[in-house]
Amino acid sequence: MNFGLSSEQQQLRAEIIAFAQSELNNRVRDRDHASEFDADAWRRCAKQGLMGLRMPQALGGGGKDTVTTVIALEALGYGCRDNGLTLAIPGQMWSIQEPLLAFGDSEQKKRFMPGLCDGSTPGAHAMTEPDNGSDAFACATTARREGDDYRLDGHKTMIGLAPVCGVALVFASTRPEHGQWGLSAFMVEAGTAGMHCQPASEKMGLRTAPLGDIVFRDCLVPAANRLGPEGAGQAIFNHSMDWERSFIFACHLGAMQAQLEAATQYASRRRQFGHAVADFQSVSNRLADMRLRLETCRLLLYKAAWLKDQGQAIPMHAALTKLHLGESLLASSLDAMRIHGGRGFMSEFEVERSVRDNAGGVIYSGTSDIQRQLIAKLLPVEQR
Amino acid sequence: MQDQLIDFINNELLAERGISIGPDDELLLSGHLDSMAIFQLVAFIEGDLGLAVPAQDITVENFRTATVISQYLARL
Ligand SMILES: Cc1cc2nc3c(=O)[nH]c(=O)nc-3n(C[C@H](O)[C@H](O)[C@H](O)COP(=O)(O)OP(=O)(O)OC[C@H]3O[C@@H](n4cnc5c(N)ncnc54)[C@H](O)[C@@H]3O)c2cc1C
Repeated sequence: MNFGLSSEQQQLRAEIIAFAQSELNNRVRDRDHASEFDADAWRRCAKQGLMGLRMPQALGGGGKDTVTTVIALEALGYGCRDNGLTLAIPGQMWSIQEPLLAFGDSEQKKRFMPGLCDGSTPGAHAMTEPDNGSDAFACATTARREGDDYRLDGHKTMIGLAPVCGVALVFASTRPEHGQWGLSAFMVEAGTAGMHCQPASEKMGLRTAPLGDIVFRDCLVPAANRLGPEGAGQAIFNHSMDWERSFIFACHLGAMQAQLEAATQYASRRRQFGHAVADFQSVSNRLADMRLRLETCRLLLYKAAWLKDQGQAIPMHAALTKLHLGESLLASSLDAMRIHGGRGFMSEFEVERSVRDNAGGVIYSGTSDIQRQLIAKLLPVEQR
Repeated sequence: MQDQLIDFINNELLAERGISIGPDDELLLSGHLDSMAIFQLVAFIEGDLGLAVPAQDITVENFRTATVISQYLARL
């Protein structure tokens, strides 16, 4: 077993940290207040090759393995303070590009992948509906076959990048009488008649990442845009969740490292009762807990990457990773806030933003409750 | 192979619920097997029967009944 980075990986990491620190932290606090997405930063990240890292070179990607991709994303999260951007980028990579790569035919890959990699057509993953969140397969959006097209009708909500997307991977029922087994997946291009993308109202955190609704009314989508066969929607969704739950927090791992460094420095500098506050055990215990979480998160994340490079489906490990990283991020953000005292509560110091931004991590990609359920259900499989 | 599939489904996936299926009983549309159970079934097919099931083949057309599954596996 080797936990070290190759010299190329070290170089990639250093390059991406430098890129992120110099190019992505423009007006983050102001943009958070204004709920403003940095479209230029998105394009710069694409130009840097970030979205395409794991995609084949022939489709505009970088042809890297999963471990190297995760190293790059961790570096991005270490250098970039825009937590909305560092959620939106992996969101597209894992939940749109991966299913397109696995289930798309060669024509679909050629049509959609280059624009996803070069940043010109941001991708949204549209499953959640007003009445179906955790119970995602109870999807009420329908896609009825009409000649060479499908007619989509329905409402998707809380969809990342919806207001700015160029294409959306949409799950809809082609055979409602088959329930969860009647779902199919479609690549729907923004601007298609009958597809309406609307920004969501204000949200607690991740304000620099646009979220919104997509409504379909008599929206005709060519059958050539269906991903995989009819009825494969459930398999496609599960496939994308295997990737998303494993790696949606790859950037956050870097952010956790930066958060720990900042909290350690602050606790050594800040003096009360004639001592650095780091000398008080209540404070140093929090730093120790943050360090331990960072380590366990890193181990889970990199093991997931290694497993994926062996070509495995990893639903158990994906659920463990999603659960532990989601909960750890929030716990460490709250610890960082407490360590900073009142300054941790003031927007100026950007510590409170990490609490607001990271609260979402226990909800999206399946709540922590759902991850625990999945883990418990998978135990008998693992123990056979 | 069909018998192995039926044994696995009855003993490992349905025993706790006191249900037992025959070769032509609906597995998916009846609600007997949910997506997690299908995952367990695919793990059994891949691990114990040594056949790789592409994710996009996990559909009602291929997994409706034990008979349909064994016909599908024979085509792999
Ligand atoms: C920042 C953000 C980004 C998102 N991005 C996307 C996106 O890009 N695409 C997309 O499709 N969706 C997206 N979502 C939606 C997200 O996937 C859902 O919010 C999530 O799956 C939970 O669904 P819900 O909000 O309907 O909550 P509900 O399902 O209504 O859950 C309410 C509560 O009940 C609990 N609960 C529900 N069922 C069970 C159960 N069986 N056992 C135990 N507890 C249960 C939940 O854990 C939760 O505490 C996003 C959400 C957020 C916050």
